[in-house]
Amino acid sequence: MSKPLLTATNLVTKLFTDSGTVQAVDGVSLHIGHGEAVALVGESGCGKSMTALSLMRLVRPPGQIVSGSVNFDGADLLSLSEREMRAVRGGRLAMVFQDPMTFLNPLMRVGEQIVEAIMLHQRVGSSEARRTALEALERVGIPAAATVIEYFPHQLSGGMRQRVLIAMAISSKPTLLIADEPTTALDVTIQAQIMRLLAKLRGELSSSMLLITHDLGLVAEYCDRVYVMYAGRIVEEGDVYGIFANPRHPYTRALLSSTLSPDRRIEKLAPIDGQPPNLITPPPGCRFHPRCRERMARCSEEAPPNFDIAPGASARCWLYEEAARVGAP
Amino acid sequence: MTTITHIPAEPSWWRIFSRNRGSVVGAVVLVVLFALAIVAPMLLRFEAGRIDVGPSMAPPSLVHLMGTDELGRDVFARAAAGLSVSLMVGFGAATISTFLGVVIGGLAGFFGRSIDALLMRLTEIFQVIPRFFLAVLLVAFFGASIFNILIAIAVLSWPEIARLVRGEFLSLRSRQFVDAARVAGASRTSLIFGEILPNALGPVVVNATLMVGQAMLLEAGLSYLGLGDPTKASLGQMLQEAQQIMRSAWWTTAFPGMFIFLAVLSLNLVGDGLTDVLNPRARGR
Amino acid sequence: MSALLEIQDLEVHFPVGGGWFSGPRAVVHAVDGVDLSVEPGEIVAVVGESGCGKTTLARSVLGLNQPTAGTIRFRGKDVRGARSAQEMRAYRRAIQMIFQDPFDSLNPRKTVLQTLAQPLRIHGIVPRSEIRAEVVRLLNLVGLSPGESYLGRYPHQFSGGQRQRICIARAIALRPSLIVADEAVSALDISIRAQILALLQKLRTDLGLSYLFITHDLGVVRSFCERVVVMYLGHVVEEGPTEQIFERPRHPYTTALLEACPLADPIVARRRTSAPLTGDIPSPVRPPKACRFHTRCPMAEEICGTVAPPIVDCGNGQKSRCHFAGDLDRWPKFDFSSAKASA
Ligand SMILES: Nc1ncnc2c1ncn2[C@@H]1O[C@H](COP(=O)(O)OP(=O)(O)OP(=O)(O)O)[C@@H](O)[C@H]1O
Ligand SMILES: Nc1ncnc2c1ncn2[C@@H]1O[C@H](COP(=O)(O)OP(=O)(O)O)[C@@H](O)[C@H]1O
Ligand code: SF4
Ligand code: SF4
Ligand SMILES: [Mg+2]
Ligand SMILES: [Mg+2]
Repeated sequence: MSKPLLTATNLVTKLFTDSGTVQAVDGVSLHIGHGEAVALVGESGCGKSMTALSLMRLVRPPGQIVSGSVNFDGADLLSLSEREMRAVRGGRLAMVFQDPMTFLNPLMRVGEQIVEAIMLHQRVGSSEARRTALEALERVGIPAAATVIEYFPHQLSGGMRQRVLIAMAISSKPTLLIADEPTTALDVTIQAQIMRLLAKLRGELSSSMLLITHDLGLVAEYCDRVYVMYAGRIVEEGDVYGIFANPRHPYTRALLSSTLSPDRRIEKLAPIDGQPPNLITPPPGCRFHPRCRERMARCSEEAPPNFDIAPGASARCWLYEEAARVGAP
Repeated sequence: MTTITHIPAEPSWWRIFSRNRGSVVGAVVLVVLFALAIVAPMLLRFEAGRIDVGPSMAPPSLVHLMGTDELGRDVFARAAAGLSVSLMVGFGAATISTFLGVVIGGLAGFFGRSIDALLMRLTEIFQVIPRFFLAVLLVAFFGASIFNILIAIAVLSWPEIARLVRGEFLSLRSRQFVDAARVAGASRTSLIFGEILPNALGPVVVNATLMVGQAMLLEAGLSYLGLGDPTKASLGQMLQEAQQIMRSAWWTTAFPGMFIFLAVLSLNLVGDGLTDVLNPRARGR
Repeated sequence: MSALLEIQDLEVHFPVGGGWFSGPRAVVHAVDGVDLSVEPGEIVAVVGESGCGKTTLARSVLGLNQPTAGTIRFRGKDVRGARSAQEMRAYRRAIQMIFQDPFDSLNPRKTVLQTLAQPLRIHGIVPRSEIRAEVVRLLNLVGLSPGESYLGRYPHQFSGGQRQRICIARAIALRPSLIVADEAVSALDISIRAQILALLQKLRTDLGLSYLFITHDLGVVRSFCERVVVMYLGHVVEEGPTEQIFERPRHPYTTALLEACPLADPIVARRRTSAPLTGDIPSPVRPPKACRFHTRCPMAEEICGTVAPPIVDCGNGQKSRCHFAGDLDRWPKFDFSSAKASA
């Protein structure tokens, strides 16, 4: 296996708030290969966005990256200066957010915003930047890009705004695009348009993508590899076919059995009890143990490590201690 | 069955309030001023209005903490009495104008349409008239009693609250929990008083606090122009009377002025703190 | 067989813009001639993209906004004709609602006890002295047990899922026969969503409820609902039994929705070849003439932009508002893995 494009090792990010320390990202390790589409999936509040922000070094107070390392294309991101980091961000490493409105300046025409973003990262004149901007807008399927460039953000529909944001992100031809719930606020038909667009652009630019989502359907259709996150930790890793055909971690199984897909009818729902813990006082031992149907005595005391089960597949669960020992070289 | 995994602790309102140092200082100053206004007349050695309790225009000393004026009245005793008059006008006017504002703004916001249009036009009319000018007219016309002054100020101040309350009502009346109460069969009265008003009260209380200060200033301004109640010397009136001797006896104006300043400032600081307390978002989650 | 709820030709128009003295500048055709019925014990889904009129429809059923035209009958009685306050009260009691946003649908200044006691008190469901016990019973019923421990708490002390349970308790407090649920699980996490759906399923059997279930999630529709009504720009474009609609849709918009819906199966999902619907939903202020879907329809022909399509009865309760609904050759069995039905 060639060297991955991005490797995060033991990333720990905490939020120091008035009511306590939130352990939002607690020892997350992940890697993204060249040209790969990787999913980070989990329920809200489990730390997906904080993980993404940590990778981008965009964590703001009261949050702070406490430890760990992020290697991107040979550079250790966490030790770069803020200036060097700015050059990476929005350049080779770009991000698309859930709510486009928070990242678009409501008082500026969308064209100016894209041009500004381009001139920040590429040494080009304004007319050249304008051309690139138009090109990017056409590329994301905005009809009459020359007109749209004159619009203010509020004059665009949700899908259009998300396209503008994607246009901004891809204008620098990034090698890795982090998309944090890029379609959660959109209708299914618009979601399908945006997801197909992202997949198409990824092919054209041969870039990688980290898709952050809670929707297993999007994972199934658009990603190669999956990380499942629960309460600040990655609990399972595997390729997309393996995760769906043979989920290992009890949480992954619960998630899959709770997901209703339109291609099959489930007569009787069998949901798991309880709710995700708060991350100020997470449960001791395995963080999933209060809700786990396969809980054993040790689960509430000892936190399971990550067990490698097969090449590229691992689970953070005591059930796989044996399998890992047998499977280990 | 779900188990309760975590109930966020509810920070007490004092904890939220005290996060803001200024508000705590403001609250303390306000309490001291109140104590002074209520207790001083009973405890002080000198009666407020009595002349020749000391020498004329004596500077501050241990006997007369804030000196005496040209008639030999004790400035501290007068200022304490004046403070109670000013606070009474301030709180009285703010209470009445808040009540008017809540009723008018609430009706406009809840019913909308033509009622709203009518009431808002009325509000605008009151808002475009220069406030101070109208106050002068009203007082000059009806006579300068403390009651008239209070009413005049109240009548001039409600539009601000009315607009605020209208806005709150407009946005609250389409909230889902109000619809839920409608679906439960709640009457109009209980929608207004049970669902909407309690949630609109936060900003109103803050605004009322600020209005107390404004009313005190307005009253001081009227008194300074000689339109105060001659039988009840307020702080503003003390300033007016001492105009002539301001240069030779600074204490006759400095201390009453300081009381006004402290009262208005502390009210504003307390208002700031209340904003945090009454804003549910500041309560964490 | 008489329907529990029967809506006919419902129109809800909202005037927008305009000044004080001039008339409205434009009219939003939020709901524009909708027929719909719910049988006793049935779960009917209303699906469609945002802005197509689902919420407006729900609010009209609840009497939260005034229809411009049309009739709403409940147990055969015209609701708007209900003159006496008593009749209106009975109707109010029988239809309840669960709202979309669990963070907005509970009064932040009321305790759980106050919130749940309100409907009981207004309608005199139980004697005053028993209200507390009834609230506890309701809380236990929706899975918040022991109910006593929740009575004095405020909404912000609960998670989204717990709040939605409280809202469900409020809805069943009046022992209604129909519950209108407007995107009641959309804001919830996957595992919590499944819990709430299971609870709603259980309550339906235990209390004999019907649901008018508004959602945009076709996955939920297939497993949870018995009949589907598909809306587009204020119109019902297709309706029918769930399995039939999912296996053989007879309207291009339904097909497009099915194609766009994510599938939790990588093998099936990747076999899909169809292109997604292009463009945004048009504005309901000036909806397209004739067939409202013709601006985006992959099957559109000339007639579609000039002649409004009739409602075609496709049998077994399936109806479609499309010129070609009767042309069986165009509607092969729908297969998620190829999704070619509309090609
Ligand atoms: N500014 C903040 N202050 C306090 N806690 C925060 C803050 N931002 C995030 N958190 C907490 O950090 C944890 C992880 O948050 P994060 O936003 O990464 O979750 P997520 O999986 O992206 O959820 P969602 O799908 O809701 O966006 C949560 O417990 C969240 O409450
Ligand atoms: N009170 C209102 N005034 C003006 N337009 C409205 C009002 N309520 C709804 N609409 C409009 O009616 C259309 C349908 O709305 P709605 O029923 O809320 O859609 P959905 O629930 O499907 O998202 C939308 O275009 C919406 O903007
Ligand atoms: S470690 Fe134990 S509690 Fe945790 S998921 Fe595995 S079996 Fe369940
Ligand atoms: S009538 Fe024409 S435009 Fe309308 S749905 Fe049918 S084919 Fe499409
Ligand atoms: Mg997030
Ligand atoms: Mg809606």
